Order: sequence, then C-alpha cells, then structure tokens
Amino acid sequence: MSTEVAGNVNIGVVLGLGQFASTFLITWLYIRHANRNLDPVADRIRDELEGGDA
Amino acid sequence: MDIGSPAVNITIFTIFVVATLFIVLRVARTNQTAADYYAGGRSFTGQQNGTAIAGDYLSAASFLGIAGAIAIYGYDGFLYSIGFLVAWLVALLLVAELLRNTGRFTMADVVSFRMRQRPVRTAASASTLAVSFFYLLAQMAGAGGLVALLLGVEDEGGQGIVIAVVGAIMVFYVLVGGMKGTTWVQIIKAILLIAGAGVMTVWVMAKHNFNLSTLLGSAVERAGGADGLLEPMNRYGASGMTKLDFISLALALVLGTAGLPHVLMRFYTVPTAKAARQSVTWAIALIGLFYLFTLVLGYGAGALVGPEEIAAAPGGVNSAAPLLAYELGGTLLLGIISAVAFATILAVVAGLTITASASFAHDIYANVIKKGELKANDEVRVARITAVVIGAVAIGGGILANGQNVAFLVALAFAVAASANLPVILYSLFWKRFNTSGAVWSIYGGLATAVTLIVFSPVVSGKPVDPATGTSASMLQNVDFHWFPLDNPGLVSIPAGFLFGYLGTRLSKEFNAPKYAEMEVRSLTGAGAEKATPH
Repeated sequence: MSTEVAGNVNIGVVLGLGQFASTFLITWLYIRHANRNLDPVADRIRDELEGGDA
Repeated sequence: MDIGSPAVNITIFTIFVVATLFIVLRVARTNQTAADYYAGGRSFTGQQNGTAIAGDYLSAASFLGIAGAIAIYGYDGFLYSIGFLVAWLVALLLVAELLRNTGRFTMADVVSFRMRQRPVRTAASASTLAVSFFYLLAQMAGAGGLVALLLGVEDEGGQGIVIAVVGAIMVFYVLVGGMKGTTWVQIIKAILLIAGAGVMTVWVMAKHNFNLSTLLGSAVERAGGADGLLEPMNRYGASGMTKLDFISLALALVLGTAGLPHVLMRFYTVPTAKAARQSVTWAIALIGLFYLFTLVLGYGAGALVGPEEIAAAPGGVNSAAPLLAYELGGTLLLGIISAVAFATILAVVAGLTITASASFAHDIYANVIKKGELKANDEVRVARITAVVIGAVAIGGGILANGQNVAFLVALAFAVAASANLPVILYSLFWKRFNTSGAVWSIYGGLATAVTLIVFSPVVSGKPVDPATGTSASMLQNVDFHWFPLDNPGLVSIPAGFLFGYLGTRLSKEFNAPKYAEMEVRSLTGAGAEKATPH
C-alpha cells in the first residue's frame, strides 16, 4: 500500500480515491439504467393500474 | 489557548439563526396536514432533498471528527469518509425508491405494510427511537465540547446553558416549521458547510501549489517524518483484534446508513420514487465532494497546524478544522467555520427530533394506541408535544453527558441501525416469505444484541489506564466488566439481526400472499403510492 506512484501519492491513496470514483461511476450507471429501462415500464404499469381505479 | 474572538463567532452564528428563523416562519404558513408536518407536503425536488440529506448526514462528527482523525492518524481517518460515502450505494440501489413508494411517513409504514400492524409498528418505532436517542445524545454532548472550543465558555454551567439554548432553538424550528422548515435549515446548512470546506480546501491546496503530493509530503514532514500517516492501519493495525474491530466499524457504517431513521424519513419529502432516486444521486455527489475536501483539510491541518498542537488544543482531535481555519483566514474564517459547525449540530438535531416525534405520534399513538381512529390534526398535535419532550430529554441528556466520551454513541447508533433496521427493511422489501414474527424477532433481536455487546465492550469499561492522563479511555472508570473484545458490535450484531429475522419467519406459519403481491407492485411501480399534497 505504501508503494509510491507519483511523488508522495502511494497506492493506498490512489485506491482510496478510486473508491470515490467507483461510487460515482456506479451511481451514474444505475441512474442511467433506471431512467432508460426501469422508469418507462414502471410508469406504464402504474398508469394501467391507476387508470383502472379512476 | 486564545485564538479567534468569541464575539465574532457568536455574531456569525446569530446571523445564521436569524436568517433560518425567518425562512422557517415563512414556510410555516402551509403547515396543516400530517403530510405537511411530517413530509413537507412531499413537494421538495430531488435536488433540494438531496442537499437536505447531505445536510442531515454531514454531522459535526463527520466534519470536525474526520478532519481531526486524518490530521492525527492519517490514512485511517480517510477510511471513515470512504465508509460513510460508499454506504450510500446501499441506500440508492436497494432502499430509497422502494421505500418512497411503499410508505407514508416512517420506516414502520414499510415494515408493517403486509404484517400485523401493532406488534411490528411498536418494534419499528422502538428501534427508531433508540437510534434517534443515541444519535441525538452524541450531537448534544458534542455541542458542549464545541462551545468550550469556539465560544470560550469553559465552565460546565455556562456550557449547559448554551446546550439548553441550542436545544430550545432547535425545538422551536421543528414545532413551527415542521418538516418543511427543518428541510430548509438542512439545505442552508449543507450549502454553508460545503462552501466553507471548499474555500478552505482551495486555500490549503494553493499553499501547496495545487499539488496533492506536496501536501502529503509536508504533512508527513510536520509530523516528524511519520510515513505511517499515508498508509492504512496506522491506528487500527496494532493487533489482529484491532483490525477485526476496524472491519466491524466499517460494516456498521456501510450498512447502518440505509437504516438511519432520519435519513429514511427524508425520502418521503419528495413527490415520486424518481425524485427519491435523484435525491440520493445529489446526496452522493455532495457528500463525496465534501469528503474529498476533508482529505485535504485533514492533511492540511496536519501540515499547517501540526498534530501535536491539535492534540493539545481544547477539544483535541475535533479542533483540527477550526484551528486550520484560524491558521488560514484568521478570526473571521474561524468565526464562519465555527458558526457552520454549530449550525451543523442544530440542523442534525432538528432532523432527529422530527423523525423521533413522527415515529412516536404516527406509529405508536395513531396506529397502536388509537388503532388509526383519530382526527388528522390530533396526530400532528401529539407529534408536536413529542418533539418538545424529545427536545427536553436531549437537552438534559446532553448536559449530563457533556465531557463524556461520546464517540461510541454515534457508532452505537449506526450499529443499531444496521442490526435492527436494515435487516427488517431488506427482508420486508425483498423476501416473500417474511412475516410478522420475523419482523419482530429481527428488530428486537438486532437491537438487543447491539446494545448488549456495547454495554459489555471496552468502550464502556475495562480499557487500560493511560499513564499520561491517569484515566481509562472507557466511559466508566475503575470498573471492568467487559467480555466482548471489540469496540463496535456490528460484526456480530448485524448478522444476528438477519439471523433472528430468518428464524422468526420460519417459526411462524403466517404468510399473506395477496398483500405481498400488492406491496411488490406498489414498491416497484409507485401504483397507489402517496402523492404530493396540492397547495
């Protein structure tokens, strides 16, 4: 972990910052997937169900 | 130590209080129904709510505590921020949207959806109140230490008065502003906190030629060449047991966040599940940004103030960020950062108070005692009375716990949230067979395991006496009844919560298939979910 990559920045620091990057990446991927693929289906089913009630 | 001017600190803090008070009074006019009082009329946007979540989540412990931990222990302090951030993926991927669609105001709404109402609501409310109480006490007790540091109030009586005033302002916000007022306080506080930390971060980086390597280098140099600052396990690596303790802590942080009742309740303030998703996205962005700032602030405080000076200051580790502010921008920046730290405590306490009062009024009073047969106004009236009682308890507890070692209270709150709340939330959302008995077992089992293990852990009794100070790091001195080796119970109590839920379910034949189908459709599509109230 203490192997230096650039100056005093070692692998540990890079991995730590990588956790931030991966969290942001997973969030972005999920949001994209949900907006594109999940929402249209969910909205359609919801409209069908609630349309029937009204 | 004489740094900064208490007058400046108090003035800036007073400006914050007056400004937020004005906003709270303005938005309070639309506070009539339960949905207004508990959920701000469900009319906040995802961005607003995400900012408010960041405001709720970034407590004084995470601002002052983490910056200090990085300054003194280095990389291990950074690991806290990673845990606190990564935890949000659990909330985003598994909990936020489904919770918003299924419930109305509280965690118990979701958990009791397809169960027998009274036992499950009572249990869910008990664990909500337990988590809120531990968290609240930690915040209020921490306020005492902060007062000593920032306002120059040294004697216990004076600190007690300040704690009481802070508590009273907070209760007033909650009573008058309800969730809407509380949310605006969170939003303003989050913006101030992140902006303040951002300015300091840029300042620290400018002093080091915007080069992270230079900053790390000077932090190590200032600490007398301690390379351990840049490596993990500087603090937790002493033995196998401390490493295990670190894993336990990390588990509690990562799995506890999505079970914190005041965070869960925030998802009800937006109109749709999609807005709940946006809220978490915003919260992740803001919280991530903030923790990146704390990395720079922590090493910056180490480099510019020095670990020995920080440890020797009143408030110890917690003083790293304020001392750094003074080093950079003198009295004025210290005043601003101090006021922001205070505002942080105020806002987090307000969020916890409204959550706890909502859980009591909505779950216990309205659904268990009155069995759902009461006027809507009655419930809000009870919630307001409860908020006053909780505020009084928090003030009293805060004064009593002032000066105590309270770090364990936050760890306990997260451990209880992860052991008692998260298993039951996940089971009820995703496990078809889950039933009343499972829910009750899971909550009480997780809660009892976490609390018992904490009581018999080294944080309460039995840590060796430090020859330098003559006191033990445990809460109680001169007694030793600990038998659980770890500081944090998560490693045992979280699996226990899941196991109890499994066993309880298997031991009961109850299973409500139509209700599960209804819940599944509702949680995934939002059909039948609570809408925003029109104004």
